[in-house]
Order: sequence, then structure tokens, then C-alpha cells
Amino acid sequence: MKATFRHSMSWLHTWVGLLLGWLLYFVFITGTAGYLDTEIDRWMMPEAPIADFSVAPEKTLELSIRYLEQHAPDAQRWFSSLPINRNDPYPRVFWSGAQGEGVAARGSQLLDPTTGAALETRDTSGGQTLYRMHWRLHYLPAEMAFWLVGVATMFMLIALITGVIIHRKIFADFFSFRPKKGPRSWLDAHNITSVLSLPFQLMITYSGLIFMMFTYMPLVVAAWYGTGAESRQQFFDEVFSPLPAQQASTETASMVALEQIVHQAQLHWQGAALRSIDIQHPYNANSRIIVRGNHASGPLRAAGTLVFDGVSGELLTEQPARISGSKTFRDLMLGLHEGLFAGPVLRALYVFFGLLGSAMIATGLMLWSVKRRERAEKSRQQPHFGLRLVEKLNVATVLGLPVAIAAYFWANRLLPLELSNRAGWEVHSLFLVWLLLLIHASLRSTRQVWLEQSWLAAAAFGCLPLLNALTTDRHLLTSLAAGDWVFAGFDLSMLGLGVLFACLAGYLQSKAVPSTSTASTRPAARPSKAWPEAK
Amino acid sequence: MMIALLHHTKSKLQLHAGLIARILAATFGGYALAHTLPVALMALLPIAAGEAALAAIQMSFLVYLLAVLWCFAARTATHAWLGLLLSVLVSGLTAWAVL
Repeated sequence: MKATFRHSMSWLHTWVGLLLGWLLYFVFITGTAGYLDTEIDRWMMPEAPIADFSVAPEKTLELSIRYLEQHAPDAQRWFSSLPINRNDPYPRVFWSGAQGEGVAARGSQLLDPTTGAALETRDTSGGQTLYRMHWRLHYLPAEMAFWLVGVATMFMLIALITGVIIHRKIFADFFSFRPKKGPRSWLDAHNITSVLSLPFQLMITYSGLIFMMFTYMPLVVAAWYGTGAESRQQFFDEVFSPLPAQQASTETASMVALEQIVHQAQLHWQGAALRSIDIQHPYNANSRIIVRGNHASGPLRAAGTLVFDGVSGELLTEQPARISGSKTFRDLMLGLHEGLFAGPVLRALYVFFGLLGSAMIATGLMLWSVKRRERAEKSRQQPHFGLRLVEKLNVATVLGLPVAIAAYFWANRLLPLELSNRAGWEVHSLFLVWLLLLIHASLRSTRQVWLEQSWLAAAAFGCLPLLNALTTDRHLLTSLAAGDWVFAGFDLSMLGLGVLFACLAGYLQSKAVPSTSTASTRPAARPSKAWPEAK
Repeated sequence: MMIALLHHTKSKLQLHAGLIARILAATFGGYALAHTLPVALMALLPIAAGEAALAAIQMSFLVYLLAVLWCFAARTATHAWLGLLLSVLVSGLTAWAVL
């Protein structure tokens, strides 16, 4: 093995970082977009009204129940979630076990907050699908996706810790950026992005593993409870203490007024917001009404639960948000990972650190290839296949993925509204464009690909506000005038990304065409150079 | 020609044998230890089964990480394997005895 501890840690850092680096970049970019999932949802449903969080819960509940009585009669369960913050912009109902002619047994529907009718929007995959990609990998079977992402996350954790170990001067490194020095500059950039975001990266990586821990480490629980589905269920019942299921009676009964339940719950929680009302066996003598508090009121992703008798309205049981130390730790990890509690400023920070994490991965990948490219050129060797492959994958991922995500937004505005499986085609557009860019990268010289794909990214993002203005009546000026910060923010962010990519393209362009003064001191064309550096 | 090729692969294999042994130890030995060590530690604490199991499983990734680092930091691949096997054995037996 390598001579010293630091050397072997450095070797480990290099290879666990490279091997699944592109997958990690994908996870980071789509996961970062997930911090704006409902905002993206709203932009992708331009027909939906501006969200209103000031509607009284009683009013929303009344509309929800009216919808459910019409569309889900005789159901076993009615569920209504209230729009209390950006996590749920519109009232949503869910039902199961409904009966009747032309009635869907189970379903889920967003409602118009003022009329209570089904929210009529285009068929879209929205921000939710984009966000779910970061662990679900969309096309893959669920189990395979979980394991792939799990291995990548474990690699990330190893890369983070070995990265810290191989750094002697972590703070000195933080303040040194030496631009235009080839691999050295890439190393500096890698160091700065990593050091600045290290606590966030550690949190996001470890909590990511905790999300899927029962899949990844199946035998730990079995040590106490034994294997088999029943013993597993016993464990889940004990630690997460779900409420005992209530059997329906054969007798029907009237339902308690929901205003009364809302009032009781608000009194009980001293005015804190209610997030959802879950009615089990509506209009049945054994009906139960479960009220849940806001699980996003703080970093602890847990909420108190109240169970009422659905007929008399009597409070039967209460389950607090905190049950045990180890569950609280888990809830904290999940809460910090998802950041549902974050207000605008903290949310912006989440996005910023997510992007820094993506930049950390991208600069690490670049460092690997730039270093080896320089070595190959010094020794005048043909760069071998592995290096060329990494160079192509780097550009087609670092730039190709953002372009593909822009294509996802374009597809949302351009695909015909009546297209069947329209939402599915939005996602196909993303991956088809990505595939095309990968092919593009394999056909052209790496340097040209960087230049061309940055221009493409600049155009794809920069023109999105224009596309929005042409295809909807909610263009930037109207949304600014209406104070619609979700729409205006989306358009402005896309414009900003476009400008950023244009700057990158301009920079690359200026390097690609050396000015006459430098052309005399060095060979005019260096077509084999993967990345331009000024000497 | 064939023989030369065989020799070449063999020497290359020998060169990489230590590395491959470490990677295997880290991947599988580390995964085993990520199960046995947290279970043993939590089984020794006087807490309810559910809470102990939930605490152990959240610890297991940290143990996995440390095991991987150990496998690449150990002086030789044999050291890496021995250290890991011993820890798995001791923690596994402890967990088995206590539970």
C-alpha cells in the first residue's frame, strides 16, 4: 500500500470521489432544486392562482369536506391538508376506500383555495419529480436506486472525512485562491467550496444515510426483534408508536362539527398551526378524527398528534412530537436534511450550500482530469482512454445536467396540453436532452464542448422568462407588479443562471481565441488541451 | 506469448492483491462491523429494545466509515483483515451473549 497514512487517505479520497462523482453531482443538483420544490411546482402550474396562506382553516376544511362528500362518498378515510406555508401551497385532499358508481376508490387532489373545486392545471411532473430524482433516480427500480444512492452517499462520507484528514492547513487553504494556475487553481477552488460548506455536507450526507437506514442496515433491528415482517412491524409500532387502528362499526352516525375540532386543537396547542385533519370512517359510530400539528415548525421533523372521537368530538389521545431520544435524533436529522422549516433567508442558504456542494464535486472531478491531462502532456504521452472518458463525462454532466433541467422547464411550456402522459414526457425531455449532450460531448473536442454547452446553457436558462412571457399571461412584469414572488423569483433566477453561464461561455471564448500578443509566444492552437488556462 | 501474458497478469495481480484485499475488507468486513459493533454497544446499555435498535442503526454508518478508514490506514492488508475480523468477532459475540 502507500507509504504513509496521509498518502493512503489521499488515494482513498481520489478514488471514492471519482468513481460515483457524476451520480453525486446529479444527486446534489436535483436535491438542491428540491429546496425550491413547491416554488417550481407553482411555476410549472401557471394556471394555479397565487397561493394564499391567510385563509382560515375552518374555511379550507369546509371546502375540502364538500369536495370529498361529492367525489369520495362512503370512504374509509378522508384526509385534508391545509395550506399553512410554502410546503403546501394549496389545499389538498386525499381519500381511500371510497365507493359508488364512477368513484375512484382512492385519490388525491389539489383544490382551488377560493372555490373548493379541483385545481385545474396542466399535467405536469413539477418540482416534486425533480426533487424525488435525487434518491429515486426516476427510471430505475426503487430498490436499485436506493442502493446506488446509498453507496454513493457512503462514498461521499468517506471522501469528506479523508478530505479533512489530508488537509493540514484547512484555514490557510481557505484563504488562498491562486487563479490561472492550472491544477493548482482547481485544487484551491475545490478546497474553498469544501471548507466553506463542510458542516452542511457532513449533515446532508449522514442524514441522507439515515433516511434509508432500514434498507441499508436491515439486520441491526433484527438483532433485537428477529427477522420477518411481523417482528419488523412490532419494532416500528414500538418506536414510532402509531395510533391503534380503529375498526368501523356497522352503525352510521353524524359527524361532529369540524370547527369544534379545530377550535379544541388550537386551544390545546395554544394557537399553533394545524397541518392536517385525517378523518377515519367518516359518518360512522366509530369515527376518529386525527389532527396533526405543523411538522415544519422547527428543525425537528415531528409534530404532535391529537385523536378525537368523530361523533362526540371528545379528545381521546395525544401523542407528543418527542417520544424517545433516538427517535428525536432521527427526526432532527431528517428535519435538517429536508429543511422544511426554513424561511426565505435560511432557504436561500440551503440552496447556496447545495450549490457549493455541487461545485465541490464538480471541481474535484475537474481536478482529477486536469492534473492527469497536464501530466500526460508533459510526458508527451497520448492521454489514455480513462482520462478522455472522465473529461467527456465531466463536461456532459457539469454543464449537460443543468441544460437538461432547463429542457424540463421548456417542455413544461411547450408540450401540447392535450398530450397523453404529458407529465411523463417532461421527464423524458430532461433525460433525452442529457443523452444528446453526452453524445455531443463524445463527438467534439472537449474544449469545444465546454464552450458550446455553456452557450447552450446560457440560452436555455436566459430565454426561459421570455418563453414564459410568450406562453402564459404571467410574465415577469405582471408578476412583479402583482407581488407574486414565486413567479418573479423563478424568472429572475433563470435569468441570473443564464447570465452566469453566458459569463462562463465568454470567459472560455476569450481563452479559445488567443489574442495576437500571446499567440506569438505559444502555439496558437492547443487542441489537445482539455481546459484553457492562461499562463 | 500466452505464457508471457499469463506472467504479466500474474505479476499485476500480485501487485494489486494487497489493494484488492483492503477493498474487500473495507466493503464486506466494514459492513459486518457496522452491524455488530453498534448492536453490541447498545445492547450493553440499559434502555428499551426499540430505542436501542434505533440508536444502533443510526450509529452504524459512523462505524462503517471508521472501519473503511482503518482498512486503508492499516500497515498491511493482513493487519486490516485481522483487526476487522477480531472486532467483528468480539462485538458479535458480545451482542449474542447480551441479547
